[in-house]
Amino acid sequence: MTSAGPLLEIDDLTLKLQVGGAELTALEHVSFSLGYGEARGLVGESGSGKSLTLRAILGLLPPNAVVTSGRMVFDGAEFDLAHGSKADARRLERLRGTGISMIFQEPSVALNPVIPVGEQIVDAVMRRDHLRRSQARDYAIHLMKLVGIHDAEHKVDAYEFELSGGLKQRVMIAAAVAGKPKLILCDEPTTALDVTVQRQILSLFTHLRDELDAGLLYVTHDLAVVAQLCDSITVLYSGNVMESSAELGSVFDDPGHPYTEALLRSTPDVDRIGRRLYSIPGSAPSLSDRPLGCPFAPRCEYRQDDCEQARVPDTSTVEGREVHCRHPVGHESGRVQLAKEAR
Amino acid sequence: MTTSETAIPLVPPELGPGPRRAGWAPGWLRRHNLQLWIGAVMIGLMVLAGAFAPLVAQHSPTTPDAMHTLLGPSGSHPFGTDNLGRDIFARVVYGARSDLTIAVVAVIAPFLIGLVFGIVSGYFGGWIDTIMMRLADIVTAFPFFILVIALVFVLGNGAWSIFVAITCVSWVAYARLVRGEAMVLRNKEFVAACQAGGISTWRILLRHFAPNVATQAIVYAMSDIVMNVGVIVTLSYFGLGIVPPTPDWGSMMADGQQFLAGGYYGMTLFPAGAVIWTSLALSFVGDGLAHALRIER
Repeated sequence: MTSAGPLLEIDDLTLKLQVGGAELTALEHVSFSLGYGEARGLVGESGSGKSLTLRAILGLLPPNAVVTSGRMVFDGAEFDLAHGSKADARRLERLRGTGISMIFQEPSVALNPVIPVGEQIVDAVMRRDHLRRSQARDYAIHLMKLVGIHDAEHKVDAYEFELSGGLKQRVMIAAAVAGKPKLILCDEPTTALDVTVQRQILSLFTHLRDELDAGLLYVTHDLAVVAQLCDSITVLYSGNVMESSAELGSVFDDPGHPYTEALLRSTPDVDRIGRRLYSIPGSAPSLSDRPLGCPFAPRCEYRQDDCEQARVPDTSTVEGREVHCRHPVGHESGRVQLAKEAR
Repeated sequence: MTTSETAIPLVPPELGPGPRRAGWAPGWLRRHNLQLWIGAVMIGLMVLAGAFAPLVAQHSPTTPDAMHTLLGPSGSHPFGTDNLGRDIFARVVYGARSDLTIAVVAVIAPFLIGLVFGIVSGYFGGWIDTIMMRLADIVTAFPFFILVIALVFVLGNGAWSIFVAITCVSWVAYARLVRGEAMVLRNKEFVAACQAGGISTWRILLRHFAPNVATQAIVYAMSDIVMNVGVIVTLSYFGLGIVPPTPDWGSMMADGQQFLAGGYYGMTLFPAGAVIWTSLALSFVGDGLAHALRIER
């Protein structure tokens, strides 16, 4: 809590991918912000640009990705994310690990198989803080205990392939918090884990949030995870922000965008056992043939003629809430079954 | 989902039995691997003989004895004597010194150069890779022996020029090998994880790439030593290598050739045997290592 204003602010992030000569827009005018210590869920289907958004924040984009516009404010410092601003890219690089860190989806490939995990946890901080080997080792053990690895004294010398999936993800989390970052980016960190381990890791995140006072940007396609962990939510579809809210509950109770509503309806619910689960008709558009106006329009139940027009405005009237739809669902829809009890 | 989020199970129940890192050697060495051990014992004997040459050999390798030339094997001269009356056993043992030393040293330098070259080329890719690999192509364009012999001609005889010549030529193989590995590694997610962790590029390359890509190169180095022994012996055989009277297997064979017709086989046979023994031993070690490190060649 060092300064007023948000911890992270992403403004008008547009990113293009060059694929075989064609230039495809993968992110379009994406904006959102994150307060100090806040956890925001970044929700969307595969290919909606969630992971690209995270990678753009860290400046770790694939070589064929070009940021055409985008401004980021992190902890009071402003960065131009657009491709070509070398100086800002360098400043961004210095933030990695210590200001912003990232937890990856697949822990087994995100760890180096030939180096003991303990060393990898403290690799970055060891140099920065000029720790001696023994100090670094102690710190690694401390962190491993913090993320719930008991007998850390032994596990610190283990290799990646000697650990279970849950332990590996704990190691990744330990590495991510080692530099005491203000912001942790999570790229579906529980997707590769089985449900019981997933549950433990989620509890760990909740616990660490309190302990570290770090902001969390949590990418997932699992609304239940968001409900359990996050304060706020941003819904992405085909590289566009559909709906965004600083208050999670309001979106769950009263979704504004038809897409959000459809997402909530297609979430399994214990109260509706035996009934057919809703699924959104059609499939997500590929980047190459995205409609000009609202990208969700072709699949939308409430589609009207003006939905085809470009640049959908924000029609939300509530503070801290954004709904990019010309015909928002509104309070009266009453279809939403998944309610607050999910929390 | 339960309501109490405060009771965090900081000790997860799913901890598997973590293997302890105890024992006298890493697992891959402990695994049953007869080939590796036979090779290691064979090369070990040769290295020990070379290292303790003054104790092993009772005669000087260089002092001629005009009274005892071209003797057959006997108790005092196990391998007999050559045309100048020098003890062949002593010369073979001292020859191991010079030949093995150069063979090993001339592997280390290309190994390191190739490792750095390959990692940089494979990691950065693009025009850096293009330039570096074209440079490697230039070296590869010449037949190995022609280039080595040409370099030794330019540099003059002796251990040092053999070393330089081999280094100049054989780093290419390591560079290509490592480059391939590095290119695969570059796309592994742990590299992105390292970058996300704020670890500098050079540290990623040294600390995270080098140990990953070295395995292949180490196995190759074993067969490269065999190759080097061959090169050194061949050069010396042609009078381009180690300068007489320093004992060396290649020049010994060359000297012995003219006496073969007279029925004096010892001068040629024993150094040749030493070459075969050494090559066989190193090949065993190389194959054994490859097997132990589970690398298909």
